[in-house]
Amino acid sequence: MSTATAPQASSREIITLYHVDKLYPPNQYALRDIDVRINRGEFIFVAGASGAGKSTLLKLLFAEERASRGQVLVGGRNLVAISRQQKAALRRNIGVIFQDYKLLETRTVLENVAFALEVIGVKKRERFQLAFKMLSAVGLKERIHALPPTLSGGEQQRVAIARALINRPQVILADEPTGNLDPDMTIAVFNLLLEANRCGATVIVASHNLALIEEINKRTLVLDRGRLIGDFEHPKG
Amino acid sequence: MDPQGPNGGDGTSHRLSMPEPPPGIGTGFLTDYWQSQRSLPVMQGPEVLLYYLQQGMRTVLALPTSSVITVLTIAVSLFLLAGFLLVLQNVDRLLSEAGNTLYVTAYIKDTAEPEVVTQFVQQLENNPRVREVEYISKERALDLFREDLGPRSGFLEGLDQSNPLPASVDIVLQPEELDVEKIDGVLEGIRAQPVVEELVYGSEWVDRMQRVIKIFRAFGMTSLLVALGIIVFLISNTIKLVIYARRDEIGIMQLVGASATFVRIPFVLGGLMQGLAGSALGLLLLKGGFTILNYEIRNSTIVGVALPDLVFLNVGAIILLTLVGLIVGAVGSLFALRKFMNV
Repeated sequence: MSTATAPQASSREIITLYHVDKLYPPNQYALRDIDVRINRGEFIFVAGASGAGKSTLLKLLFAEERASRGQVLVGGRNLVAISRQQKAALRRNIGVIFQDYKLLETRTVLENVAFALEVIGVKKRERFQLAFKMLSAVGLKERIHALPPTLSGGEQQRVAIARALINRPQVILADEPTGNLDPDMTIAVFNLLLEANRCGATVIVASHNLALIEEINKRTLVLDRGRLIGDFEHPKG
Repeated sequence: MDPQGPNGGDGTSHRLSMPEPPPGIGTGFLTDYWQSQRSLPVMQGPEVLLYYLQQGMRTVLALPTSSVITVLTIAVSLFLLAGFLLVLQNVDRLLSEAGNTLYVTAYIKDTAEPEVVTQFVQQLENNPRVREVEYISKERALDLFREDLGPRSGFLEGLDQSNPLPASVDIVLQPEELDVEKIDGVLEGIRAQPVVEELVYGSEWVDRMQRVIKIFRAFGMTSLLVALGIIVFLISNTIKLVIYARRDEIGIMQLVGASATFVRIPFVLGGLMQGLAGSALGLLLLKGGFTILNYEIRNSTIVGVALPDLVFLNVGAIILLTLVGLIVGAVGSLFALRKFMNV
């Protein structure tokens, strides 16, 4: 048990994990004593093998899961004690690229991307124009009227990316965002994430693609069976 | 968190040095859009209302088969409930009519002076507790007796001079005077008149009918509430199945930042629309069935004569039943959603 005082996030910090455990019943630790501080505008990889806790860590950051112990601060808000209303407001400032895409199957590609603007009440014409431009930016302008189940895995991934970016979120969380993409498309997607990062977004990418992590050479957190075993500023040196 | 992201990134400009991405991807739009910092126009007032109505319609049309099943379930449920209410209402009316009519006959003394009898009849006609009064003179009583006997009335020949039948007054009381507690007082008042020889009535029948009506109404109300409970359960379970089929979508909406209200309103509006459609369909079916049944009864030589006209539900009952459909549709959706609102 930690007896330390509650964390004080500095103005530079956007995310603080303070001695965080995530325990699934009956006794399965997905994360154990994670202590990390992330500054605004950072580009971070979370690396580790399958089951290391990468997805769970991301889920804690957009309040899909709640920490069993410790504190999770995002934008100064403690997610351990967050109301439903605050949770919705938080998510509108976080763009999440889910490993399983999580697209609305009964809505077209264009509507799916526009949906992130729809929940904040943006007018129809505006949200569809922006969604179209965003889909053009991910190379999908020919598929705007298609329904997600008719798309390939890579195409669905790009729709999910477009949806995550359209809100100009402060934080972008990406769970294996290029898992279903070919090498060319992988580069395109990372260039988009880097572009968003240059625009000011804090980007956190869970990936087990070590070659890519080395190539991009950004701060990397390494997880192993739920524990943080490494925090490298530039893994390539 | 600020609504828009800060500028600058982590200070390092990085672009992958691997082969060029496919053409058409990463057009530079993102940077322009992000850095423009312009606020996006949001929907206001009527636009929001229109938006929610469209989304409500969308929830209905998204799963057409399920929506049709929900509407039919509500229609059949409302048809049964309203049909039950219709039967209760008409049986209650028939019972009330039978139980609310008490024929009292006051036989007049032969010695009574005609002026006193006329005065007695006028008194009864002016009595607010009396609905109908008919004076039957001795001669009229004999004529009526002859009519009743028909061809066998020959043995009454010669009775005109020594008519043994008394004059009488047939009285029908106001229905509200038929309470067991009140009736005796009214009848005693009539019996006390000096011209009255004898008073004949069937108070036991009235008493029994009144009790039957009370029991019937209690039974009807209880059965109606039980039927309503069953129907609410049936409809809410149908809606629950429809919403269960859309649980992933509801979850995704929340993960993207939709507020609870934003998710709920379209489903509640969809529930209202289905409730309205179901109620209207159920009541229209009932009206059609009722019209055919009433027509058949009117044209039946046996039942048509015995039964008075059947009456359809009044406007109040129709509005109430439509409200039941609407509320069950909306509240059913709200309750079914509850389980999936904690993503």
